[in-house]
Amino acid sequence: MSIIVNKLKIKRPKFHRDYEYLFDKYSRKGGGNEEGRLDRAKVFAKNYELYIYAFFMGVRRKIRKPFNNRGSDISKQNVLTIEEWKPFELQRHLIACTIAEAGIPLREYDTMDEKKIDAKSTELRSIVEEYANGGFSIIHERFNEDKDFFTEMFAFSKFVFGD
Amino acid sequence: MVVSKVLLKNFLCFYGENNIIEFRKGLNLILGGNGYGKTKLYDAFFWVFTDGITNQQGNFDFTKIIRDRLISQKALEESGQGKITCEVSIDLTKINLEYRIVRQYSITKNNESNIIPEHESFVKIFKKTETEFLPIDIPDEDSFKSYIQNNIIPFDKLDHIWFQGERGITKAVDTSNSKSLYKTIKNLSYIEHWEDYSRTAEEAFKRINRIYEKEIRGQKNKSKEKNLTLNRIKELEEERLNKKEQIGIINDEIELINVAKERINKNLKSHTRINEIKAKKDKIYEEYSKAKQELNISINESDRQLFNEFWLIHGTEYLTNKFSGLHKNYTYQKQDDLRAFNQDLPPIPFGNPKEMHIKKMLEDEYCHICNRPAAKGSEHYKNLERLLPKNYPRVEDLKETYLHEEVFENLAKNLIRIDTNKESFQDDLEKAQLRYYQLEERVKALNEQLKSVVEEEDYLLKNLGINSSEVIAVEIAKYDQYFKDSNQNAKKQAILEQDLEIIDAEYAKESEKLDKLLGDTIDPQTKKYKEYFDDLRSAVKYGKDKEYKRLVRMLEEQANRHYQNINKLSGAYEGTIRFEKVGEEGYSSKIYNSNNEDRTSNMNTSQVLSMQLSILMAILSTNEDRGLAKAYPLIADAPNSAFDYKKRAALLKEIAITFDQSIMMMFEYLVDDPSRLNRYRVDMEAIAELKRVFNSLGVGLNVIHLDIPDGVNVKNLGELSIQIKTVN
Repeated sequence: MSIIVNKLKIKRPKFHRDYEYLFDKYSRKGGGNEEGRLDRAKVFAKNYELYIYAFFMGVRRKIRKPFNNRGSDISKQNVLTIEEWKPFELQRHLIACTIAEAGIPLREYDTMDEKKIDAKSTELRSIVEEYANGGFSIIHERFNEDKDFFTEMFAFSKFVFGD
Repeated sequence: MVVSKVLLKNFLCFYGENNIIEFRKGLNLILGGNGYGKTKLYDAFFWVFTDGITNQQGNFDFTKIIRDRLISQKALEESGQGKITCEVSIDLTKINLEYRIVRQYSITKNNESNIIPEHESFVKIFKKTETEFLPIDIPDEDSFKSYIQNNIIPFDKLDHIWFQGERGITKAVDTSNSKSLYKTIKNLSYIEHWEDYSRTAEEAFKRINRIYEKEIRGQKNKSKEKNLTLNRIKELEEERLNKKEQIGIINDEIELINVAKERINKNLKSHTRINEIKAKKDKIYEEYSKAKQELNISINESDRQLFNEFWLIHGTEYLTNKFSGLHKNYTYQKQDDLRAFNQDLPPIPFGNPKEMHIKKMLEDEYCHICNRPAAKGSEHYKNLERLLPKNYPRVEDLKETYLHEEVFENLAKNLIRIDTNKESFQDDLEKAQLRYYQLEERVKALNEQLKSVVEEEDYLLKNLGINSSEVIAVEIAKYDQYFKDSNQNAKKQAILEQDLEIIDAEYAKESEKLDKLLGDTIDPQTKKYKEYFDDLRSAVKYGKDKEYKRLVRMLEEQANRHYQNINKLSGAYEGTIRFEKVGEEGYSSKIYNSNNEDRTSNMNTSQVLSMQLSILMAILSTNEDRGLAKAYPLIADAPNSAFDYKKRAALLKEIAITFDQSIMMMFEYLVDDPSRLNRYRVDMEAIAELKRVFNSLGVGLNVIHLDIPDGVNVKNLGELSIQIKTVN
């Protein structure tokens, strides 16, 4: 029998292509070295970091926006599978939040057969995507209010602690 | 004098009655392409004041020569029969009084081909009362000139303050001609008074001397001996003058050598200073690099704490608490299951039979523990079967059903670990921000310090020529040579002074002899006056020479300051300007490099022009109260045609600092206008940068763009008109 967390970890969450520009602006896609990070605007070393940021912003503001992860609206840009996301502490925290949000008594996961585990892991991925989608929408809104906001020092941090 | 407004009516290319340009204090830039009226505007100023316009050769053409060509061709062609007038009107302020000077010229058109031009232009001066401009009575051109000369601006200054760059600025300042340079210095500086004193003293002495000699020669008594003595005295006076001149030359040489020695001394001191500065620079640079590195780390790490310190989880407690709850339920359920399992277990058999004993009892169908039969299929038999290990329900089996236990446990532990930090998240952010701002300030401060040290080092290296130990060795060698020269000069000076003493002694003897021969025959008053005026002319000459030297030193200093400021950004200059005396009434300007070599003939056009402008500005501004530069506006057409953009900006800055008002016509700062055919637009980016610099200097900048309507051919004077646009 499979473990739900392991199943979730190998998922590759998606995002709406409307938010691709955020990745272009604030994330260095292929990771990169320290020198590259001198480019102030690119706060996020990898795409998944921006994704994690958006997820927690969604959770913090309790905005879980419905997201259909199929069709032409989906960005073709890649985010690595969850198991690659670092730091691992945040990866685990994200998984814990996702499982909590699903709200199923944990014992039930022990009794699920393989098919059910598969279906449940897909549901959990949707939760990740919906919170991230909510997060992206908040960032997008702030960006539209002030296009230079996120180029300021500590902008992304201040945005977390702001209301 | 400050020019506030110019109104041009049908004057040259300024067609129409309403061409107004308003000027301000500070720098007024008039931008226009070739043929767009820049030089014509410059000509307008001269025409009003002098009735003439400079031609291509730099000479004046007066109205009576130019005549109908003064009037806009377009106005001429478009007008019907009758009188056509062109006019230039200039509003200006001079010591709180407002004037308007208007010059007009008219022609009468009888038909298309018959034009009757007037022979002269007419000029009027108006002075502003509280409410209006009232005319001043000036019956003719001469009285106009006299009024302008006495109340507005002396005409001999105009050529130096208003000039046209493309026709060469030699009219304003001719550095290639020593007499002309001397004249310019004399004309524009306060030294002129000393020239007057000198001339007056010399004339007074000559006059009294003539009376004195006449009286002597008029006497019959012992006239031959007296004449001989008088002649000898005159010879001795001549010799004495010669000796004094020679001593003067030696003194000049000694002074020059002393200046050179002083310079070398300063250079050697500067060398020590440079070493100190270099050490200081290294130290600041080290601190700067360290701070910059820390700042870079701070920048790189600024938002990294979101991940590294888990700031991101701020505000997610409601979900983590929920997970903790779910996990607790999970662990409780396991405990409950285990408890229930234990309760459901069959009664523990007496003793602890081993598997082989149980098998024996099953074979025997008899329970040896209870000592009773246990037939196959009976309850007792089944109980015995359960005792076999493979069929016994194990607690491990139950535990194994909790497949996710470990993974959920890890998730829960992880929550506790990173949750413990969350109280200090915001404090940490504030600390990180504070540290960043402090570092930023520190880097800025160190950068400023570094800049100022580098500037000082640069100044010493470039301007004093101290750039290597080899140069220092050369300087020391030069110093030794100067030392030897000084000794030789001191010897020469001693000999000359000895000679002078002998001449003086003989002169005294001959004078005594003459006194005896004359007895009381000469009017003692005449004799006394002769001595007074002789002393006076010597004193005035001494004073004049001294003042000239002082002025020249001031001029050199000012000219070099302008020269460096104009050139330093482009880095295309070397050496320093020096004025050298040529004969009694001449100065030449030279450029010497750090090795004291004359580089004047090696200079390119741009360097020569920057030297000329620097000297001109120095002459105009070297005075206690900035002299002419404060009193009159500089008006220059294309003064910078040989300059690159850096030098041009530096020149404008220098002019703006030096003159209270300046009006500069130029083509630069215009670029092609892609939206129009063959037209220019103002390079707003460059102007904005210039404005920023001028703002920081507290100097005003007023920009006017001279344009031509679309579709008009610049070369077709019959359709040419100029549009005056103020650039904001």
